[in-house]
Amino acid sequence: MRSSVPVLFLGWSLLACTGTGSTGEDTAQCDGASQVSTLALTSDKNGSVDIPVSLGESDAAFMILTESRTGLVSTDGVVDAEGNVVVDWSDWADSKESLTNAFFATDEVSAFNWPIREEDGTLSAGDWTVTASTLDSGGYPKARQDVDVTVIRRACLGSTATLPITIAYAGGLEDDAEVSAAVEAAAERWEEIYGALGINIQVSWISVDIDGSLPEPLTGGGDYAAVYEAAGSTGVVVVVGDDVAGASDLYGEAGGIPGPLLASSHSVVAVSWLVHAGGNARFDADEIEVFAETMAHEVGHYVGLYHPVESGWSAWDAIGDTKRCTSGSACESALGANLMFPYPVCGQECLAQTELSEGQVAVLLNNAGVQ
Amino acid sequence: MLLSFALASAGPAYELLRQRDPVTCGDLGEATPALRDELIGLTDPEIRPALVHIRAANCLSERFSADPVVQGRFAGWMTSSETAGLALAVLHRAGDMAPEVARDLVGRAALSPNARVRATAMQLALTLPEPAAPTP
Repeated sequence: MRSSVPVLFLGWSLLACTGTGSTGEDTAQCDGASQVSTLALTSDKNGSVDIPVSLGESDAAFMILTESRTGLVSTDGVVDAEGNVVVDWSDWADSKESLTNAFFATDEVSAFNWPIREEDGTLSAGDWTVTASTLDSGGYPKARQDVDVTVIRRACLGSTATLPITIAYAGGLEDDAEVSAAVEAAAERWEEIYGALGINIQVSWISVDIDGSLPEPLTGGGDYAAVYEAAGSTGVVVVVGDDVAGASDLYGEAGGIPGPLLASSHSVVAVSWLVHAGGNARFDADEIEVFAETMAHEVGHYVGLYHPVESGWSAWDAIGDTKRCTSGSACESALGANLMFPYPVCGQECLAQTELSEGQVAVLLNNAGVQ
Repeated sequence: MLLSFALASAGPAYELLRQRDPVTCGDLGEATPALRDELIGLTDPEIRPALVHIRAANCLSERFSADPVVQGRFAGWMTSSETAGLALAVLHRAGDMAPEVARDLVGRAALSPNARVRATAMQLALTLPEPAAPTP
């Protein structure tokens, strides 16, 4: 039997949440507002920790962020208010389909959003439990470890869905007129891409005093927690720098699938302007289009989407309505225009990659960061 | 131009370097003159996506910076506004090159018509090791 010891509970409204009364009970109001609470828990002798999640009538999604200062953490499953296991990591451990990175203990932070897909169903009011584990660097259970847990509960969405975005210039790029003009043009195009899918992005701009060679947020960058805090954001922070991951020269990288909606060393999407501009360091219209698609693609990862098919053509996302294919040519043909395809499909020009299936859009809308 | 584009963009290096996911220059195979020439071809501005130019320049820096043919290319990139992106990609890897090669590139880049290339060169000039004192 698992035991965990809650020693602190703080509840406050992250946004203007009109549905919370003095008793803490929600009225059913679909305004997309979020409520955040924190818990300090300790894992049991098996390294397991049960995280209580008390859901109200209006709650439509939640995100659990579990952090350890002493080792790795993973999220293992969800039990609903009736005691039913609605998802368990062991069903996905060896699957060729990917649902969430939270099941894999790769870091000291685990970000888990539920529900993920349309087929995962809806939430019901009551006392749910999310199970997590504390592990050592070898992936073995580590008993009696303290974890800090943040629970973000998000109400059902109203008539509009909005994702707050902060774009942060690194390495003094805000002073480079040509680069900043291209980033602004790409952000406008990204707004159009998401807008056509029914999601408004609300962009704020800041500059951050960090080097333009950006570390990989997926493995954790030292300054990214401070960048997220500087953004004062409740959404996704996109850092623009010269390069990402040094020698790997990535277009960009998301800090997780999904990424955490609080400050941590993973809490950004990092993108490179240089790999989009190419050898002449100038942007033409096609390059701005690819830049826009990269921001939309990487933020798609951050809010929960996988590639519909991975480049080896033998692993897929877990969404029912994304097409299945098993070779490069078949996948480029079936999915080449999908926003989450693993690479730009280019001849003399690149194919526009702006489409998402209804199931993919549902994943975006289920993320607790979408208001 | 069209022929080199067609050849370079059909090659195995292109297929690898165009991926969104991380790739390493080691994945390109043995450092042969054929690979060098293919990578030089992939810096052609006609190649799409533009990511491929930068990754090709990066792999030339990592695997061929001692090759005189490649050093000649690098020298040209440092001083032309048309190749400022390639210059930046190479300068970002200067710390991994032989010090005398890196110093030569930084000296040329300091004269670039592109402000960001010049600024990067100035920063690097402060961090590169001093030349060894001549032995008597």
